[in-house]
Amino acid sequence: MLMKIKNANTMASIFGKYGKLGIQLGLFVSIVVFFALMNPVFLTADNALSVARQSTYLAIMSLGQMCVLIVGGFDLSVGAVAALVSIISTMVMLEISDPAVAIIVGILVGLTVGTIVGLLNGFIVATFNVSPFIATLGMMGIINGITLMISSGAPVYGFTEKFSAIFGYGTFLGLPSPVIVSVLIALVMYVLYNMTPLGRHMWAIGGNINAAVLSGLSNMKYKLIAYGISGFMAALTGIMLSARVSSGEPTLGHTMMMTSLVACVIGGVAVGGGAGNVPGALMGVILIGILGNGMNLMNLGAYGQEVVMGVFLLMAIIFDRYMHPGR
Amino acid sequence: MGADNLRNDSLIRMEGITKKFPGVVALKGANFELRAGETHVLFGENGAGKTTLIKVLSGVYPPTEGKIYINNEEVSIKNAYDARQRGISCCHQERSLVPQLTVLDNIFLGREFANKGILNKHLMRKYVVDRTEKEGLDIKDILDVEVSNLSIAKQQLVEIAKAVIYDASVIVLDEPSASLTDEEMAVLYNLIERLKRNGVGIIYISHRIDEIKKVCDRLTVLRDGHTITTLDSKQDITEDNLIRLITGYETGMSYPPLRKIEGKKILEVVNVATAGGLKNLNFDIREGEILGVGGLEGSGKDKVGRLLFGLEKIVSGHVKVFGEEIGKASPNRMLSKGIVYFPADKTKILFMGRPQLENQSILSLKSFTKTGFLQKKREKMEVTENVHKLSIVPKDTSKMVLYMSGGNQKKTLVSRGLLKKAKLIIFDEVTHGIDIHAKGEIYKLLHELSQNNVSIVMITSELDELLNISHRIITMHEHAIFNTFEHEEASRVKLLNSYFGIE
Repeated sequence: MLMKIKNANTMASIFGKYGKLGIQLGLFVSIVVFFALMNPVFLTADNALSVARQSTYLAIMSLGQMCVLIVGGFDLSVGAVAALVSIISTMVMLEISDPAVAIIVGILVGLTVGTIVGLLNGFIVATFNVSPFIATLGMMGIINGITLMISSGAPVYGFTEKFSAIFGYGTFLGLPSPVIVSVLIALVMYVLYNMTPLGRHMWAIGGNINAAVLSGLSNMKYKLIAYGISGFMAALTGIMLSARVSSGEPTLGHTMMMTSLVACVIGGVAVGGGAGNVPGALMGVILIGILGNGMNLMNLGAYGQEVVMGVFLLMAIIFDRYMHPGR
Repeated sequence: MGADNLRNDSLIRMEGITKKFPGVVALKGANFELRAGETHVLFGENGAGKTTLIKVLSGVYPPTEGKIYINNEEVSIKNAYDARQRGISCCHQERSLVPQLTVLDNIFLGREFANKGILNKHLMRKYVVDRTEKEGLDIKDILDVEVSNLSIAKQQLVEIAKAVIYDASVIVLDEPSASLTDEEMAVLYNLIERLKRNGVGIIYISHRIDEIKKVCDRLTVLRDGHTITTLDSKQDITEDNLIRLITGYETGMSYPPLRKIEGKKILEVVNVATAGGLKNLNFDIREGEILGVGGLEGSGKDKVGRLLFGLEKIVSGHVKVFGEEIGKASPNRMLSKGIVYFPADKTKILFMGRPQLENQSILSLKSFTKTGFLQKKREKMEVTENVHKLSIVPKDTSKMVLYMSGGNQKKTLVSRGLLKKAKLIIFDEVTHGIDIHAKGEIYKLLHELSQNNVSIVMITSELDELLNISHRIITMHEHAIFNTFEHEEASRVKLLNSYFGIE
């Protein structure tokens, strides 16, 4: 048994030193080269911009997922929350005639709902000390059901065009608005993790819950914060995507739960907690964006893409064992 | 001792067993022999290597060096299952029963009687009842009880029954009296006699001298990973003799001289009893004092540290810090009073996968925060200062703690306390698992802390630490303070006597 640990340690120290960056760069380069060879369109500037625009939604959701992973959790409900918020925000906007008021109230209600679901996840996980995987899976089921019930399973149309014009297709200083929102979010998260005690505490909770509690940190507090942020981010993703597709969609963002996990884990966020940072997660997001885009250009259908994503998640989780030996 | 002809048959011979762990050598060429039909007691202080020796024998750890013979034939024991197949059965303190299964299912786990894939419960039950009744073990009433519903004592009996049913030729009993009642012990003594007559060899680990006298045929003393001696005759097994034998001096260690402590009381424990079993606790700690807490495993000494950090539930009495009675004690409250606690298990206190820097500053982030933002430059500067002051290796503060040696990991904790500007640091087994050189450095650091008026509670199973580092020593026995010694009046024999509850 000890021999095994020793081997894992040497493997780990090699991966620890060069691994994270090496694996990411290696993947990055090989994916780009592969798709460039498969389709010349892949390397054009237009395509690059479209990758960036598509990635912004995943970026927002993944940064929330990252918070939960860092404190040692999982959030499988993110996709479901995005869909619920898409429907609820749309319905709220339909009720209000003044466009400006409708947009503001719609967004606020959506963000509140998402955050509450997140807090509920955190509360359940921290109070009952249950597996976050199962707890958020249950939440996912509940939320999915509610979404389908209130929308009768059909898209909801008819909110103010201004909403799509600003948040879906708008530009500011030449940049698409979703890109601006995600960059702002990324900056805030970066500051949080690298310049405040809060970030340190989240790493500590996920890194070693025993040691964190002996250092006077409250498990409940940081679980609530992490899951709350994740719920907020999922809601924001849902709102931004609704603006993009100009409707409330009950199935919006369903595949994003898995892709947000893949992005984080490839980006070096530790499954089980205690490690991970914004630049890494963003790198993971871009990797997934390129992968998805490349597969589209190759005309690989949605079913095939899901298979590829699953393979990537498995690979990422296996590498995770070696990248985070401190666990 | 009726079976003299059997007694010269060597069942187990372990020669020159060395076991190295990262940063510590637990066994240093230990020798041990077990003969058929004898009860052989392993005796020594905590950390002397008894448990490691048993774990090597039972296949849990492979030895780094050394040879193991079973029936005079050299073998390599691959794992715990292999050991069991070779007839070595361990009744550990950490039990190996599946709590959700019944006693019967546990006994036959992996070797069920079955007919064409269908379990034959009737046959299994009959077999167990026959075998155990013959040996005077009565477990037929609990065969269908789920193990999780049994007392620790009953579970231990099931383990022993399992060993008997498996026809083990070697049975290891690790402190059985720790959980068995007197009545159950009487059954056990009878069983031991019967097993011996059948040629079974029994390795018996115990700290209790009266119990040892009762069961022992031969006795091997371990100290600091070495075999000191094997006593072949029962006449040699006396209290004086045993305590003299486990007493030995570590050479080459020099200790800083201790000054007189006259500071004010910073912490008082008044008549405290806890839900965890501590009782009649009365002691205080003065400013700059190093208070040693000694005792055997299970004496409750580790709970004293937990109590001072608000981790034990107080049922009566109270704890006063700087003269103020602490109502609802919690780690947070104690930290705010400047009390820091480091448990014995480093994996419970270090953030292994995080950098050294974060591990050092985790308690003092508040002092490094200005208007909500961390002042990372100042943080790094102060951490680096400590790295130099404590000569921590590596100097790179971004290195994961996982890759540091045991000694440097402990120093990282010391620095954590320093950055927090702790008034009282509670160390449980501060030198556990680190080499002799690092030990010396840690002792020097503790001494310096004390000179800077930081108080220290040092819970330890090492007599040398109590005798040479502590201004005052309290010894724990059965969850209460048995004795208090000033530095000058303490001696090894006095300490050991009070560990065993002898005035």
